Amino acid sequence: MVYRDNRKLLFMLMRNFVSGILFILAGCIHTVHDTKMHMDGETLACPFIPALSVNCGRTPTTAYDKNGRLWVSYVIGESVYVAYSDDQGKQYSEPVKVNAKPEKVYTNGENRPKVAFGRNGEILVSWTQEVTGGPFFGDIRFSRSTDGGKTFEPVRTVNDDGLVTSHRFETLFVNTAGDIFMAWLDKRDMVAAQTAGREYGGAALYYTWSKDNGVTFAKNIKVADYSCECCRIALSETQYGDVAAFWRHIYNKTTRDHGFAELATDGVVTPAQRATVDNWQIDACPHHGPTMVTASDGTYHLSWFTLGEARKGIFYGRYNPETGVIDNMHAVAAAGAGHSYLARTGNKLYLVWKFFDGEKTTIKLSISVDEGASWQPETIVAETTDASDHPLLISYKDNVSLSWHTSKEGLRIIPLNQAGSVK
Amino acid sequence: MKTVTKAVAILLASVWLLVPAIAFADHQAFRADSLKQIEKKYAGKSFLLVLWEISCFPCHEEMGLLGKLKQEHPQANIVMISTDDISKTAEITTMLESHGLSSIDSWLFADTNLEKLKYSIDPEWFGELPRNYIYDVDASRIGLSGKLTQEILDEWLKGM
Repeated sequence: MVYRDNRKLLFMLMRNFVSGILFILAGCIHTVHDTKMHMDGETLACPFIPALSVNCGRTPTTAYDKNGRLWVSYVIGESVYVAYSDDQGKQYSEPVKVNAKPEKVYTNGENRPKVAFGRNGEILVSWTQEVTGGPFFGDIRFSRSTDGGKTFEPVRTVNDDGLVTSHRFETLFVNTAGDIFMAWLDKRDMVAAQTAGREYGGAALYYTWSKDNGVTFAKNIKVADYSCECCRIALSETQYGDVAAFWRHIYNKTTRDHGFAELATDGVVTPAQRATVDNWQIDACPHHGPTMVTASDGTYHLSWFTLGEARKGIFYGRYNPETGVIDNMHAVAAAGAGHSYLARTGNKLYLVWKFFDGEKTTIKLSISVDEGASWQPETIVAETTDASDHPLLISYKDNVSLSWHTSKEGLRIIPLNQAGSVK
Repeated sequence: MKTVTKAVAILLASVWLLVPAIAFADHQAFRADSLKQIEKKYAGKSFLLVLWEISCFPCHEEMGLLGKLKQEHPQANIVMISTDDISKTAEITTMLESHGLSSIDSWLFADTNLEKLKYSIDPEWFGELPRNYIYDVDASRIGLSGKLTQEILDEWLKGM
């Protein structure tokens, strides 16, 4: 490409100069909070093109492997990275890029790359790729490492419909037996309905599994039509070693409550049933998915957000799918709160949520030692004065830690066993 | 000459990268003090404040209604605030244009601390979208979550 016309070249240079100024101004707005970070007394810098550090990555998501090593998946640019830490997040290994070919990845509190582990120590990574063609289009992506995270296999698409449409909000879960489950929100049935001239509200919940450590995945199976289309899905192991799913669902076209189902490696065991009856009549995107852990008696601890006729705010309840009843219902928090997350070790139940008071964002913790019948007074376990991600809980043996990414402090791993003081 | 070619190629590539930045000029940067600015601008007038996002399907449906309303009642004051970040500016512009809303007062979240911006709009709002506020001439307002209906919009127009 050679430009002999000097005027043309001059015009281009001028245009670039103007664009450059605009870009710098826009960049300042966008990155004003990413320039300096303070962590453990040190000041870390995330430059305009960020370093590969987890602290500068988008939506870092953590998990402990069976040896207690902390792994994290996160996104920088159009690459998913994985790194590990053997000192509770003080230092991380050199990050390894999972996708050799760059691709756009959904990174928000509700929809984020995840890391889990196969029965032979395989490092499993999943995410939702942003696909061009429509505003909600996406594919469910999966890759794994069989050499301890040194290298990753070529990325695969898990949704098997071959349609360019919306497949998003994947969840990755490995049960005690080592079977891998993935569930996500899928609009293939909406495409079919539209082709046939029928209306279709929302998405559908689909899932698949792998019994061979992620070498192959089963044919995609539909769990339910008409799920809400913008909230994360909660998965938890059933007392029989299968997987329970809890997700926001659309009932009667405009009621956004929650559905529940139990899924196995040979199909749906407990078909979708309505778990929460808050009667939230709304045609909107709550962007606020639920959380769930299995109780010691095989029932389920749930926490969710609703602005229903029956109740408004963040709630906790224990759900028995056999009776369809939620007991121990407890109002966790009202306005200003959000994105609760549950974890359980033994008989200790941890519930964290985010709270903004107008000045700072805090993570609050409440503990129950009687299966959610009563809750200890809430304590603040972390805070920040700037942008922050959703709080996540991760556990290893009897230890539960808060995993929270904030733009000022980076990724913090805070053990909750002696929770109470602000860190 | 080779160097010039290379430089031109880099410049061309940068033009491509800069498209979203240029598009940002179509929207005003919404910060924690921006609502006050908006309320001041429309003081004494009835207006509709709409919070929306690219990834919110009901928001797109609502924009269909708003586009129609704006066509039939060009005098209606509509302010739209996208809760997306700057990387979505080109999509926001396209979305507004496709619904005949390119002339409206459009804002875009310009702080990564989303909680702070949301709180500045309404401490009682949990972030569900679309979120609408109907402002009366006396600056009182009602907040409505979820897609507006034609009935609500008609009611608003009657009272204007």
